[in-house]
Amino acid sequence: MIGNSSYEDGTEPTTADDPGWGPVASEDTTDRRDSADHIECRDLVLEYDASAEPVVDGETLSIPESAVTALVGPNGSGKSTILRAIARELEPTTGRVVLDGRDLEEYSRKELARELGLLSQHNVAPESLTVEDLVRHGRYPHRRLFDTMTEEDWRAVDQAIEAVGIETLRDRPVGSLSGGQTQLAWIAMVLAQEPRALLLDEPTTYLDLRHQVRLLEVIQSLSDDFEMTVVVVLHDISQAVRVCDHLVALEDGSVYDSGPPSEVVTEELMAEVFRVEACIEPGPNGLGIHPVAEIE
Amino acid sequence: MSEKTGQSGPRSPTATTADRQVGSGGRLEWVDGPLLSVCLASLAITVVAGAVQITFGDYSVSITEVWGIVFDPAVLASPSTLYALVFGGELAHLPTESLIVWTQRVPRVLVAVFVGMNLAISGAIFQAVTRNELASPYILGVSSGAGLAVLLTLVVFGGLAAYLPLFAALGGAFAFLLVYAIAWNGGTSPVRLVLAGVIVSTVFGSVQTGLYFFVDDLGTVQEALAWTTGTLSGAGWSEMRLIVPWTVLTVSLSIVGARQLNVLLLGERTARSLGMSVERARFGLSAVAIVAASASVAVSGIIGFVGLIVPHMVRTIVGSDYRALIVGCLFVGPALLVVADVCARLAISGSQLPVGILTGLIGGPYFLYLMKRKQHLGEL
Repeated sequence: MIGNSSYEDGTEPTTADDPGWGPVASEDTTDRRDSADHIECRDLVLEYDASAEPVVDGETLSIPESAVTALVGPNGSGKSTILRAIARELEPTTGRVVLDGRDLEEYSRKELARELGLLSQHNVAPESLTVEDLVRHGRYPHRRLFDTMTEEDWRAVDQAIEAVGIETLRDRPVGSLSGGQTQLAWIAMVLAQEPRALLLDEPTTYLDLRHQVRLLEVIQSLSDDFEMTVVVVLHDISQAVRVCDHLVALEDGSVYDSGPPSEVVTEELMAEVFRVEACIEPGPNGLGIHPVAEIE
Repeated sequence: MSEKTGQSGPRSPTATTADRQVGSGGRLEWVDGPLLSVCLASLAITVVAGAVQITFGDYSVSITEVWGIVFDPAVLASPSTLYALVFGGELAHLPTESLIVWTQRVPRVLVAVFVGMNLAISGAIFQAVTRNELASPYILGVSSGAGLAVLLTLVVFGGLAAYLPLFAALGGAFAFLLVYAIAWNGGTSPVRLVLAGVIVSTVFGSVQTGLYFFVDDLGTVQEALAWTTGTLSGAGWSEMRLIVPWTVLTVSLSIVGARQLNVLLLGERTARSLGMSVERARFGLSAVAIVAASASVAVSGIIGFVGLIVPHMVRTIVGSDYRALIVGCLFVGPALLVVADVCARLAISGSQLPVGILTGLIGGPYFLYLMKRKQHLGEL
């Protein structure tokens, strides 16, 4: 129920030269129309290996505040690389990432951890660790060496567990959870950091359908109920359309287009970025994307 | 975050919050039943084995006589005698039986206790830092470095034999730094660390074996062998003086570092995204583990498997929380080593085995058992 309202009037045309993320006309997002960009990437050049060609070559993109931004594109399009740069895991060769008007480099480690939460695709925790203990680790950037858990810490832990709806799993060891439950527990851990922005790297990849749907709902509620900025890398464009307010389509390391999904996702985009012939039709539950054939 | 807190009006803390704050938010919340039983059982084993060690031996003293000596007011109630024992001094006024009990059997048990603690926490830390259940001071090259340093000292710089413990520690630290340097590639990973450890151990081991060919004196060979297999025979109060200060340091630092170790267990990427400077934490904690391992190598040579088995045994009982794990190790390590040393000393009448052989004999089958039982051996 959370996910469906955003795309009801997805067909409504907006100005074509609208830069960055435009207004998504739906009731729960109209108030975000004027909010500033939370994260900006300016002229970003990213490379893993100095001798090879840069993965991302001089791209500029902005992530709106308190909205869900999805980075989509085929494999190797640089979407995870950009996420790593935003998380300060990969230092840009040139260009910079600006968080809340401040250069990312200026943040101390713990300061950054209080602003940005990151959930990787693969996570490992000792099997005997309980969900609650895992979530408590999220308080690390808020605690000093000898600090015990304060009331504030417990409140954040409880709230995080409640926000993803895993109260019943609280005392279960992580090793006994299903893939989807584990992913939710990890999201709760990141939420306990109380970051203002959350970065998710393909969070649905290894989950069954039911948990994918649940996870997308959780993601959406984070921005709707908690005003969190969420950046999510997804390889499934229908999931992206379902969950995001702002969509950045990447092709071969550059931004093909960005804006509200209803504008960005076109048959042309499907053909040029994803190399599939697809039929896009607005439906009662948002955009329907129906891939028809591969384009040689 | 402030915004989020502001937005969260309707989500009041649940009832459990209040309960938990009282019940488990405190500094000692991790102390639970399993941990207490492990500690008490280990303590009992250590005490019993220690008593056996003190009671029996080649120099025959009757049981009543031994315990008369242990609780002899002439020793216990005399500060000057105690001082002379602990810090070295004139003990000529004591009878031979007293001397044997107080300068050989008692300190040997105590040294075993401290060596056991150090080896256990060293292994525990290395296992968390490399996120590898099979890591130990030995896998990461510390032992081979110390062993090579000892052999070099004995064979090449014979005149410096008095500084053997120091060289052992330096060799261990050097080997680990080398391992770290080899593994470094803009950061390290558990796999790279372990592989580098194997490389360094192999090379150092070869050099070590090669050095035996240049030794003419059989006595030196035996001394070198005793070092490289690990023995507590001859451990006395001077060894105590050497190891106790280091133990105080390593134990307190490892308890303080337990929360960092817990976060490291979540993986490098997560630890970093939680705001930890992973390399610094990993390096600092490794330093603690090196000091712990080197301190025990310096007094007892290379005793294998303790650093590998003990954290493992404790983990299966108390779980992976390092606050509890470290404390458990401080009790189980001494228990294992004191028992092993009793067997090493008393198993064959008239001669003593190096305790390292015993720990190897216990450790090998234990790992075999683990291999059969666990599917993902090595993953923490």
